[in-house]
Amino acid sequence: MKIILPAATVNPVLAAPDFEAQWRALLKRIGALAAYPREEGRMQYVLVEADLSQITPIAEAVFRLVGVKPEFLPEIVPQPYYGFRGY
Amino acid sequence: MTATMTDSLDMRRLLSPVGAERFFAEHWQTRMALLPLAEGDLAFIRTTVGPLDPARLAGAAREGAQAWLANDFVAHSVFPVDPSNAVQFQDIGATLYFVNVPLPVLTDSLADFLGAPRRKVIASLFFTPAGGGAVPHFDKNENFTVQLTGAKRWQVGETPMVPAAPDGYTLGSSTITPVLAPLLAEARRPPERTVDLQPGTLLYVPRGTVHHTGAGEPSWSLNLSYSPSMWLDLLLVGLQKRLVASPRWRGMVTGAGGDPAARDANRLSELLAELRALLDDPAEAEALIRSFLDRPNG
Repeated sequence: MKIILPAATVNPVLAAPDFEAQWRALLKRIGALAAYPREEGRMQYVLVEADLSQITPIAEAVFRLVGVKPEFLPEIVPQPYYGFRGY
Repeated sequence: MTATMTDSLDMRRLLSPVGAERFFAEHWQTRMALLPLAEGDLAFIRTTVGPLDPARLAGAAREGAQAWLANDFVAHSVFPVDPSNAVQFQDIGATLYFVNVPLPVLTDSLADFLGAPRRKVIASLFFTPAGGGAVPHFDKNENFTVQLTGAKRWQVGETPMVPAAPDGYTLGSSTITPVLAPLLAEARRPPERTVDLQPGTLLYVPRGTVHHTGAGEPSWSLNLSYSPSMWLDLLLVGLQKRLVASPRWRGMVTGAGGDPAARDANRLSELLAELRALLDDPAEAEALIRSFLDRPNG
């Protein structure tokens, strides 16, 4: 999923000294497999493998912390990834 | 509405509330039209479409199926759908879009009525959950939508924002194709009309017309769309196909300036005379149209 983090002036949580820790805890909680920050961390690509019923709960957890809605981009997942389970 | 026994899609009959002649004169490519269908026509369309089963339709859709999800926590997201997960997406509140479901009885009838290439008219199905809908956008296709079940509210521009739009566009998006950009820069958004589609209504929306939708209840609709097959394409593709057979037209551009000797090799005036003769010949013009319409993959 793609998350465009707001400026700290918009959401003070992002300026909190423990934000990094909160962010890492969130990633762990939602079962993120990897996170790829872009543009000095303002844009976050987070790789999750989730049951469809978990899409909205995961998005809600992100929204509750950073105040923005994540966009899910299933097409950015490399094709071979889909086959891992079958190996 | 009286029941009518129907075994084919008779577009002339479907358009009878306005009349086919008036449809082409006043609506085609210029203005939306809302038409009630006869019971028999709706029943025929529903039977032809078959069961509104997401898994079945996901398997049938030639150009795949998509789930669009947007809610209080999820930004608009598009997921590929297959028969194994279509119902799951429906259950989590996604809008489902089944692209190019083969329904030749319907699409060929519309294409034949329009005098359009059959391959350019496709049928797609939309499932919209309660609370779902589409944000303001316009399409590059001429769209005929038949509401099959449930109800959906459309806000539709009275006229196209971009007449004969060569591409689609979602209002507010920064993604604008180069061919659309100059047209959009001059465009003004026309006033909109609210249209409540109930089962058995047919809505025609010309391409380039801004519309957005919302469903208060689960809704299935059928979209018959005529994707761009412009006169411009006929000129570019059809004429090229015709002229590529000529060694003179395949010749290299020479003598557009340059050395006087090279200027003597400039054949443009002869080529334009040849082109004029070709276009003035009714048989050649007919052949041009035929070769364009009959292209297998155009």
